Amino acid sequence: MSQNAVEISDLQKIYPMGELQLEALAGVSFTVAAGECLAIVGESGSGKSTLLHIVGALDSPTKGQVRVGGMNPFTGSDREVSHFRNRHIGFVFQHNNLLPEFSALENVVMPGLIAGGEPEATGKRATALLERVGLGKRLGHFPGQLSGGEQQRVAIARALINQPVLVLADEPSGNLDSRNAANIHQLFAEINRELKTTLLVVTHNQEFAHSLPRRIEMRDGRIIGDSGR
Amino acid sequence: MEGNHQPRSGSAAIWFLLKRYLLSSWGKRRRKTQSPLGVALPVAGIAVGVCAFTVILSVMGGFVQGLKKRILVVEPHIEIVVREGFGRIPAKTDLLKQIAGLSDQILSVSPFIKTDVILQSRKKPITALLWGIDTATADRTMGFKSYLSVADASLSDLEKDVRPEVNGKTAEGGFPSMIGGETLLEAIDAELGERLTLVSTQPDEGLGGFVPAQQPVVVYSSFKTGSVTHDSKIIFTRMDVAQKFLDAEDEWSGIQVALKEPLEAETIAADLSRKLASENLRAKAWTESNKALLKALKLERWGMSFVLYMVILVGCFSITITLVLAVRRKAREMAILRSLGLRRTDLGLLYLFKGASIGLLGVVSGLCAGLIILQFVSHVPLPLLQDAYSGRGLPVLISWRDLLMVSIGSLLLSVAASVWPAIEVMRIDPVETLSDRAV
Repeated sequence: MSQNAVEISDLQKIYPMGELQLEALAGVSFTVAAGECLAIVGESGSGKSTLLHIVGALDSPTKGQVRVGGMNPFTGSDREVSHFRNRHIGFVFQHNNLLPEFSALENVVMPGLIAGGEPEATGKRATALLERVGLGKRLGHFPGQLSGGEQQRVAIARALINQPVLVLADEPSGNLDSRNAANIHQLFAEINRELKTTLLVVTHNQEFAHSLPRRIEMRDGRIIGDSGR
Repeated sequence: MEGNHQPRSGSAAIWFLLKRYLLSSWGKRRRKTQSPLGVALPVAGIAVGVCAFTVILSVMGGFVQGLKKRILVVEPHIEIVVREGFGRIPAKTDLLKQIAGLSDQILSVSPFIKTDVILQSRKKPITALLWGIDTATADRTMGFKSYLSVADASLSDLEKDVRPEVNGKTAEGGFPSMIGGETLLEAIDAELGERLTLVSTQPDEGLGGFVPAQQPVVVYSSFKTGSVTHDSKIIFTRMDVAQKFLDAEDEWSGIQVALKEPLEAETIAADLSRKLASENLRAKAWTESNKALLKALKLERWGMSFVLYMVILVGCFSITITLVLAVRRKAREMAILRSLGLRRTDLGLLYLFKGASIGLLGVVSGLCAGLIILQFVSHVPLPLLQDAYSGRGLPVLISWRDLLMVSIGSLLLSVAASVWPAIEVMRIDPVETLSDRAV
């Protein structure tokens, strides 16, 4: 594995809109060191989420290079790209993050089962993670029985179950009240500190962004500021 | 992929998801994300089709089996007749021995002579088919002894001459006896003990010009096999009476052959025909004599199977509709699963398995329901069918091969019905679905 968890070079994403072309990313380049915690900020439509989706191999770039943990996810088949997402990336979305038919524990176990892990060992690991995020007593509760903040905690535990190289969070506190949002921000900071997991967080919350060691600001698909440089 | 590791297997996750998505309709209230009808309706659709298939084809099978039995009550398994035309064969006992030794499948042989006649009662005439039989051996080639109306009667009773009853009194002098189909005798209001006259349809030249041959006979017994074709057409007399009536004392129309396995008649008949070719004889299986009827029954069975498969197909449409709606409703969840590392093909397989599981549930429920209904109808007399099956349940013949075929066919149709939803779920774009626009 290279020293950098993420290496992005000249990343471009163009969406064809009939005869027009929408340039969502216009030559983005940066690197993220292993264990680094990075906030990406910018106005709506600045390309933050597109960047996150491409780094997480949910979307593919029009041009440019992405390497996560030394791997280029876009040279393989759907099977290999899915494997990459499963083993090396953890996602935390803004809302409706969990599978409603499954309990908190089952939601966290799911990526481990997809990875082909032993159900018992995966269950133990999931229980430990849920205890770590403060939901040790809510293992059997279903998403509908959890508050928004608790759901996000489950999503964070789920993102960590396969010990990924990188956790990508897209507005993880966007739907939460300030108290719950602060708890989630604190949890991200603790996880980054304890597990040395590389975090890349898209957020509109300036307070949260400023609490993180590094911020990248985007506008019109370009990086206009990087506090790490 | 550069620097990647071996792809993993997510089969445990697929089974976990499948189990939960199938059972979530009936789970605890907090787990419920869809109406129980979501799974119950397509299951019921398949079950109804499979149940109808099981019941209708088994009852039809029972009916056909009964019909074949009735045909074979009167008709021999094989008839040995002249190779071409309608000629007769010389009445030689050696020929009987020769034929009996041609195959170890042959149980017994018996000669017969038959011709169309007019049967005249006191009230009216009717056309009939007269069979002159060898009473000593015919009981072994025709099994309708138990269908005779007179208790303890047998074909050998035809040997007796019987005195007719006239106005309730037994007349002087006896005449050859005959046994006739019940429907035929009812049609001419003939009663047991009544004197009837056989009138030839081939006129003889006599002193007064063309006069048809006539032979008085007395009704000794009637028979009722349940086969309308036979009960309304056939009469039996002993061989010498029929031969004399036809002026063919040294001739037979053919030789009846009884087999150990009547259903193998066609194959054995072909073999016998080959062996008897030099004698200018050929063997005619009972299936050949009833070709039109058996073909019609086969066609009816095919037609019914087609209609019942259509019923199952309609049931499968509800699988497609249910699963397509599920794909739409669960698009976000499917996108989340993609983000967790489930492959497109895994999602497709999930929906194919879901369709197959619904199909399997439907097949098992339909088979169970069908077999329970068959148990009921085969044991309990149905009021609507009292005329045909008085005091008895319906005849039922369960063909396990047919049930296996319909089960496999239904499962394949269920999987085929899931293909479109599987393609739909594989087309889900996680980025678009997970974006705010899709929330």
